[in-house]
Amino acid sequence: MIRLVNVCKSYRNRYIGLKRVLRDITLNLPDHKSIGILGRNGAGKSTFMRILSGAELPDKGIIDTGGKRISWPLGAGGGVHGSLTGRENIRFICKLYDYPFQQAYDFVEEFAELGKYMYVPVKDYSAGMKGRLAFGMSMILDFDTYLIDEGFSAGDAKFRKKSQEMFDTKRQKSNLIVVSHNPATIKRLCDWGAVMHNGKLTVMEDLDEAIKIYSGL
Amino acid sequence: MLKALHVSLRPWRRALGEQRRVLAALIYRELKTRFGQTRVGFFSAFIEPIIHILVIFSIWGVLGRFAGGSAIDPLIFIATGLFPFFMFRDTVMKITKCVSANKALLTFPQIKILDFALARALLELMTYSVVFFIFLIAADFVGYRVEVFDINRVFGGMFLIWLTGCGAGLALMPFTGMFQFVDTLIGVAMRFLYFTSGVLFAIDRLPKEIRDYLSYNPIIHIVEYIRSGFFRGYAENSAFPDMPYAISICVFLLITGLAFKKSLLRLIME
Repeated sequence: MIRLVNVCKSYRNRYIGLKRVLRDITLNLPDHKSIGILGRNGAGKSTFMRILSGAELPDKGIIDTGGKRISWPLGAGGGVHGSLTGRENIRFICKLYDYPFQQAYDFVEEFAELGKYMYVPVKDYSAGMKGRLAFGMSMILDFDTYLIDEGFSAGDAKFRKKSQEMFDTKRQKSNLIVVSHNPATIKRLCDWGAVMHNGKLTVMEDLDEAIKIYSGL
Repeated sequence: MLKALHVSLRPWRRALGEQRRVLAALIYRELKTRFGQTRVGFFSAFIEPIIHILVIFSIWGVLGRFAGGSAIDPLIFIATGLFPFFMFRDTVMKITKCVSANKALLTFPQIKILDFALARALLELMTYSVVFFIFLIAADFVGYRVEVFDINRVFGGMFLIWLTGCGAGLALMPFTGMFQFVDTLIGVAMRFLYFTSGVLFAIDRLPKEIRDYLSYNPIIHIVEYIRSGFFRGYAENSAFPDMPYAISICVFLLITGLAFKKSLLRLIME
């Protein structure tokens, strides 16, 4: 169970002053449910993910993840470093999470199909290749909950199908928290829906209901 | 009692393990980005200080500055000031720049901004220690007289100058995030410090008034302290090095730097 009670977060911006990004967010998410959060740009989705992952602390409120392993927010190219090669990026992750390198490398090599590009700095990759590497890297580790930021649908149709299957496998043991502004992505991956608007989160157990509200925004 | 202790130590042990993993990963990344890009690799760390030393050394040769008949070898004199000073300078620079260089990696929740700073600073300490050591060995090998009179002073001084660099870097870091010109200002300040830290001159040759002004610079004390570990009787009976002063400045900078940490975190996230 992931439990959030009255989580608030605001930022001070030099130009517009205090901006309240998250207002009293409350969420009770059972272990086996995946939730999709819809929201327009700037609604606070990414901040929400950063707070869930523990990269940032809320100003106020309680976050109880029940001791579960939560991923970093997985998004297009997030966590991949441009000046390192694909191989070095994988080694970095392995050092960070204490995971055997060879096993991780073999997995990503097969999954991302980068071939010789594993030995090339990531900044020389195409966008699709970078996305494939990022995706492969984030699937090395087994997390209890995966945080998926929008735009995480890299590569061509074939790769997308492969990553879809990957998610389906992962979902048997873990749950996902997906943020997106695309209802189709969420419909495919999630059980519950939610809408984030102006820093407020409205959770709905009926996914279609959430999509309907989001379309009306 | 023992069991209770064991239980209470467990989160600490886990935290330490995580800290170790974070640092290992970050240092690995820094190593790759710094030395993995070119064919010369680690050798590139030698290039700047050695060119520097050679230029100064040849200018002094042309000016005939070596005629003093001093027991101190000029090459070793420059090197014992230059390597510690460069380590200080680069530690400050690397820490103040680590915000912009690593923002992307703040994606990983276990990595905090202080970890970047620490990883980069540790890499500077390791790099310059190795480079300095190899330089001294090589100089000794080709016939320069390299003696270590007091190894504790050398190690202690190197560590203190590094720690001062960490403190200064941390204390300045929030300002570099706030104002663009601070980076330029730090560059200018470093140049100024370079000329006032006794890298290029022996303090006891200077007039007293200048010496009094210079004594406000904590770096000059540490440089002199390190040198007194190399040359027997160096800086004896003088106001340099004033180590209590240098240490208090270092502690002050570290405390200020750590106190700024919170304001800094907010700044980065915005």
